[in-house]
Amino acid sequence: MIILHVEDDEDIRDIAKMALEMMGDFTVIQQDCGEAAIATAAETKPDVLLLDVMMPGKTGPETLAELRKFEHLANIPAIYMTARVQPSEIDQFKKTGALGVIEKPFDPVTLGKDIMDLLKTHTE
Amino acid sequence: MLENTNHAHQSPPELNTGRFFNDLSDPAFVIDPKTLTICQLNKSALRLKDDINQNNASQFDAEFLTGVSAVDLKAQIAELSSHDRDVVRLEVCHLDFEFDVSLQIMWSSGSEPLLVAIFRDVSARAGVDRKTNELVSTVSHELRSPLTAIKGAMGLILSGAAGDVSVKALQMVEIAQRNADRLILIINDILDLDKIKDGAMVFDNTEIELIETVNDSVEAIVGFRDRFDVQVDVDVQDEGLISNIDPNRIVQVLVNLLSNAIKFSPAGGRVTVQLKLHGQLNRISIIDNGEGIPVSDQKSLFGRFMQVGSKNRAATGGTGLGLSIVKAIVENQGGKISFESQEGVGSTFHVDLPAVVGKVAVKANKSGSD
Repeated sequence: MIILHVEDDEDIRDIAKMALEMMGDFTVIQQDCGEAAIATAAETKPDVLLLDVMMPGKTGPETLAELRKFEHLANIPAIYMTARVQPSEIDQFKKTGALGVIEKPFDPVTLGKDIMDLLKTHTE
Repeated sequence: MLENTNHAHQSPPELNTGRFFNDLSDPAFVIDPKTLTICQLNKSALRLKDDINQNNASQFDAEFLTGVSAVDLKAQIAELSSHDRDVVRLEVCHLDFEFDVSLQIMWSSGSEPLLVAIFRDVSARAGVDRKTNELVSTVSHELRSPLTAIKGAMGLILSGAAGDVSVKALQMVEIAQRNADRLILIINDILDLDKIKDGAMVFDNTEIELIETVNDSVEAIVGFRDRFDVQVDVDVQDEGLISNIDPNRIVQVLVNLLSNAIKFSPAGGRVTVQLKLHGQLNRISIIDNGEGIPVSDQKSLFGRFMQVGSKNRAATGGTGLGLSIVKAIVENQGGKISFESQEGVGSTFHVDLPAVVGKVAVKANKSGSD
């Protein structure tokens, strides 16, 4: 499964990539900002979008809105990773078309499972 | 100079205020409690009125001034008149200013009582409070990013994904991991306190059997329980206890109380969560046989940054904020928290929550354990 991970913090990108590739059956493509993700979206064919929310430049929800304009990304599941996890905030994120939210700090050991659990809600 | 506003054909009532009223630095208005018209203004109030009128205020009466409807205002006046309350305090915004407003009834001999509204400009203080809250919120959220990386890196090492590590090194990483968890708890507590202070804590209430909430709490504390080698039992005295609560917040309360009970219990000790009907309330009690709370600490137990007993924060992993948050949550849910404790014998914390009316509890004769 190919994940497009957009995250401005380099260390968190490294941890997420290691966690998902070493401990799960994932291939992780990463971008450090929303703009870069959008610029390379045409040639990127992920199965899942994993987006940080608070980023310099375009935020996660803004990035998702732009990515959705690409036909091949219009309907693929999207998940946010954020420290902002109030129920009201999660509701807002879901309204932008995301499946759900993975809370930061996340557990690298269960990150892959957390993503798969959210994907199950997409297919159910 | 005092101004009388032209609000009625008859002469408006007037408070025999003397010069002090006019010279008050805070805007002060005298209001007729019957008609809610403004009868008198001091100099400062006149300036405020002029400023507001220049901004095209369509009306200038007690409702507009206080931001309270006539019905509510009359209800408050009734409370003040009957001496149920001495003063009503309001927060009011006019133009770009924020005011703390105090409403009081003034009794004048030989005349009808009058309502006096004194406006204190708290814009500067409110601005500082707002900036402080924003700073707390921003810093707390920003701290999570580096903590995500720290916890993630240590989690990968501990899981073995990063290769073999010596037993000694693993022990060191475990200590670091535990303290990173503690930092996260502190941040969460600060954010919760911030929300409670602002009245911004969100509650998502639903009718739920309390045994579910108790079981979720006991499940959430398994790792902590094992670390301290303490057994946790669930003792259901009455079955079918239902309350209208936010289950996640009550789990937060019970996990906090359980973790305290576990921390202060001896290794090999036992903590019991008891569920029963207590009068009209559903009572969840967390009972431990730990070291108990010194009498000197009991009075301020629910205060902020309160730490109890001989164990220090590093040893117990507490922030000193937990019980003040617990109390705020329970009270927000319409409940009450209380405790009994004896040094060297143990402590029992009771969380009493309103029972859902019409749902009948059944006396149980069994108890489960975890």
